[in-house]
Amino acid sequence: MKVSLAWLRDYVDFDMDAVELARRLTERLTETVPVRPAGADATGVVVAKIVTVDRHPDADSLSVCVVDWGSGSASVVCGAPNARAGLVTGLALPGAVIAGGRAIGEQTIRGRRSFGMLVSAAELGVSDDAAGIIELDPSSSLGEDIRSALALTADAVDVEVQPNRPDCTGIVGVAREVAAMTRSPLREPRVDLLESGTPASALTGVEILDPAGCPRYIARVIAGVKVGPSPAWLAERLESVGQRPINNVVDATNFAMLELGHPVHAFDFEALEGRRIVVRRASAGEELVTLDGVTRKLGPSQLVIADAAHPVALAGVMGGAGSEVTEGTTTVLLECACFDPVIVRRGARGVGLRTEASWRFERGVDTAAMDRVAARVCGLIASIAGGQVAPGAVDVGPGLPAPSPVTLRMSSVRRLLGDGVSTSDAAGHLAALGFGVAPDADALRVSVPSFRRDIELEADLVEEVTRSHGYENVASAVPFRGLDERYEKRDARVAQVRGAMVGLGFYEALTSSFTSPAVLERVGADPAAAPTLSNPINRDAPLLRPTAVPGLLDVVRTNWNVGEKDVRVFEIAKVFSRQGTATAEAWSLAGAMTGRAGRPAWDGQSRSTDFFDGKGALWALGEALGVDSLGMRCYDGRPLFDRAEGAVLSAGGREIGHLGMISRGVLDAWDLEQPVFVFELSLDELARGCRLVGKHERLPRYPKVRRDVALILDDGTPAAGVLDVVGGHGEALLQSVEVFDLYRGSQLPAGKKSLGLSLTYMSRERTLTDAEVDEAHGRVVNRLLKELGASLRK
Amino acid sequence: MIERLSELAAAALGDLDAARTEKDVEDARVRYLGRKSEIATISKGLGALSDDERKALGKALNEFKATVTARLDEARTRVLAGAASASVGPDLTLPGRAPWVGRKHPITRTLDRLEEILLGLGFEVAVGPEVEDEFHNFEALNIPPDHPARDMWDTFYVDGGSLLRTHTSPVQIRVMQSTKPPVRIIAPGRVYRNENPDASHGSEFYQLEGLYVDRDVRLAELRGVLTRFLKELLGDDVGIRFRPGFFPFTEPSIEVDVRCSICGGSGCSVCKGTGWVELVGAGMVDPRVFRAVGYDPDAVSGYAFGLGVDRVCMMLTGTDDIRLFLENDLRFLRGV
Repeated sequence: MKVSLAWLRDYVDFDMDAVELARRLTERLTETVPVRPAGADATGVVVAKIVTVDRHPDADSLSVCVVDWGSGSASVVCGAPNARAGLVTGLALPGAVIAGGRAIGEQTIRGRRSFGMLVSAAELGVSDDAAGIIELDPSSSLGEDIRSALALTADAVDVEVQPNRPDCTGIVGVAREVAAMTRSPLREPRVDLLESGTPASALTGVEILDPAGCPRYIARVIAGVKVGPSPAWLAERLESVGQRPINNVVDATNFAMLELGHPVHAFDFEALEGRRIVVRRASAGEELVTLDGVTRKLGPSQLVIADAAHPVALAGVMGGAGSEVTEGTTTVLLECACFDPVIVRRGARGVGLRTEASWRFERGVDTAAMDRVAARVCGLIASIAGGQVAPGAVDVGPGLPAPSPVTLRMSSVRRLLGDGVSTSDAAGHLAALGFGVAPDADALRVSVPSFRRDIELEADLVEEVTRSHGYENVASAVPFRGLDERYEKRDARVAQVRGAMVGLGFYEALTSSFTSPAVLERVGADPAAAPTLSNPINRDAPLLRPTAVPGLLDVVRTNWNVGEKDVRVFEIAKVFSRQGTATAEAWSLAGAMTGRAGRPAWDGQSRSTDFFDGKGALWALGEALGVDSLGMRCYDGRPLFDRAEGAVLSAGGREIGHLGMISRGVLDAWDLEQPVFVFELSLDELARGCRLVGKHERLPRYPKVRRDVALILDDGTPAAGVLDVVGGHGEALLQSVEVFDLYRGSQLPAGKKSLGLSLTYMSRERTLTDAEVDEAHGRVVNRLLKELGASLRK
Repeated sequence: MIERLSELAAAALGDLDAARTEKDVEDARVRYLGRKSEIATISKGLGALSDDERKALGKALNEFKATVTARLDEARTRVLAGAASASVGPDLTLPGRAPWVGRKHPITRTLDRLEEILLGLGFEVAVGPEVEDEFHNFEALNIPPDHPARDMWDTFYVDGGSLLRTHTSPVQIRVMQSTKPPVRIIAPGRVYRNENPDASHGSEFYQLEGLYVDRDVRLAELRGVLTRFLKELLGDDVGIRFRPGFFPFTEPSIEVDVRCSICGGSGCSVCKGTGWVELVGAGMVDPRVFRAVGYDPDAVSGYAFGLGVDRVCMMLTGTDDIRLFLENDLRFLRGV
């Protein structure tokens, strides 16, 4: 149901715009969305001024306008008759989207370029006016989004009324919810009624032949009305929620329905045979021409309002054409009735109609408020259409019994909400919603207002309290799990690392936590830094390991003993250290590699594992984990490693571990003959740079271009230095560089080597031309030649 | 001259396609690309030509070399693969090329399986240190100093007063100390016992501990959860036996046995003739444990259980010596 904010403010004060109101109502009542005004979806349309207008040289009906939108000007081809110099209008710039999702581009019309399009109100989507381009206030600021220039902002909300909430089919019902949530007073509509003349009971009569189908019927009579157009305020109200004004009497009934949620109907009193109302089932074969001009065949399943002879309305669905209020009507019989929801629903379906009235009667109306509703409509009619309201009403039928009181035990509230809601909180929430509340020990005795027939059980009240409290304020708990879970959890990245290492062809090993001072000394670790057991089971291994490397060397040794000479193993190990008198522990990732670099195959030579297999594996691990800042520094000194082949690893500039070839001395200590490469990294440090899920970067849309260069360099120039020169100058188009060749030999002078680089260029904005790539590549190559004293290898 | 190159190329490609042995391929290489080949002679003559001619011929020579070299590589691969000629194709029965593979350790794989089942039952993984203190490893678990119950756990002590945890139960204590009930966690990890290792006992091995504390947790739930857990782990037809046990931190305490998978229950050396293998220790959390962590034993109840991961791994893999797990013999790691 559409609710205009202006109308809603008749009954309650609130300081919210449509977006905020919709959000709050969604949180505590039902899904509600702001209604976007027509035209509010247009984008890219700005306020622009026509500077000059010239006839299109090749088309009589078109003109070529130079327009200025503040930040630019251009010429636009336009066919509107009202295009004139000085007019401030709307310009859809290239890229704009206007009514109907139409995209506007830059185009050529009859040989002239048009930078976008000048728009009509219809093209913008704000009205049907397509006669010419939109004319704006000349003082509008050029370049402003036309939506803000036209104040096209949401001024209404659409409330998804739930079937159990008939009270919210009237704007006052929604206002009551707003009043409750903002704790402001609800202003119910005033009833101003002056009665005069013959009492209604002397003018007409009502007979209910089906009391179950019609629990209560009120008829009132207003004589001497002048039917005509509604006053502007009323027409605007109706239009603001999408209703078309008809005449003042009908509009008054529609207004009351929208306001109070109770449909009422006005009959032309003179057209009623016998001047009286009979509520009965239709007889077989009876017919009724309804207001929409359709002849309806009726039967006994349908409830009708009849006069003394014929049906004059299909109860709760639609009135008959014969008793319609027209310009000639002077006396009106106003019906305010309650009909059985099931009968209305079936009746409406039976004739294939679904009306504003049937939609409300199907949900049930508040019989206790009927006399107020009738009086409200009579007062409205009298005030806008004149006439005298006959004193009193013909009021037949008892209506529905009042809803029963319900007891709300606070224990039930607490069971659901915990201790966060006190008795007085609950009472306050319910009172604000119109419930009568009396505390009774640890419970509330709640009387249910007649407009809230949906409240029958305690659980219904718990729900009212809960939604008033706010679902966002209900404590969150996962069944069977800790509420605050502040204990130490396992780092998911450890499993990620393990999976990646397995994927890189390493077997997982688990080795002992115990080690000896002699072993640690052999690998260059300080035994004094390792925690000591006071009661070791093995006197030779009294320390807790500070490194997993010796354990993995044992694994290599073990496997050599049984003839397994190709070994690639890793361990995710707890390593220990002394922290004063305490003992600290941390996760370490260690690996060992030896033997053939690849699985033996029938067509290849099997190369032996070397340093670059280890480095490659770790860089691949980094790639698999999303660690993109791995770095390496060559060094020597650690006795574990060969002097020439040991390196320190870093991530994000922090040292995280090391990699290298085991030194001769260590190999001898483990009685190993072939080269063994080991690495050990702090898993915590590695994990710090690890992204389980990364941020998506828009994929490049343009092709990459590859250029190769082969350099002749002094043999001592490190590859990293070459790559630094390539990458260190912020060459914007350079995407990546690979080393594809290294050559030393007879074709080169002594002391020289050749390094082949493959450079990839790309732009994220466009396809690069050969010339652009050549230029960028030339710059890179020149720097290499100049800064490294290199020459090109032909 | 350029025409001659095309003729030579056609001949070279024909010879290479017809090659059946490595020697055929090598002969073709010498014939067409070798130092005494006709191509070599042509190349030497380049210098005598005019610039334009030299350029054109040089280009043609390069193309020739590229084409013939590529076909030479193909032919070499083909004859190595044992295929007689191009029309027959390679010997597809040769083994495929594969990178080295790795696997998780069988203990890790067993843990993965245990955790998968228990996570599905609503538990969450918690972890704790391996170097523990007296309070978490013993006292909070209702194992006072000098109590005879201490004999159940031979302990490694670290200089400075800490110790190596003898079970994963201290994680229970740490979790309850830091978190209000309800808690429902499992704690996997390495534990240490100061015992001489033999085929069925390690001094370093793995445990998995479970703990659930909430209002009105009943023994029936422990039974239900363990039954479901063991059936998922070992199959629906696994025999399960609950019997009284003793742990200082549970009251009542329960031992859970499963039917011996080796002998099927008739009795063998693995089950020491009983037909049952002890697998899980469990029970309702002792009120004194709750008090030690600041829980109100009148307000909450809970159960705990623990099992030896190595024991489960041995059962699943049929391994008969627990020591194999820390030896990392690749033949073992590959095989199980």
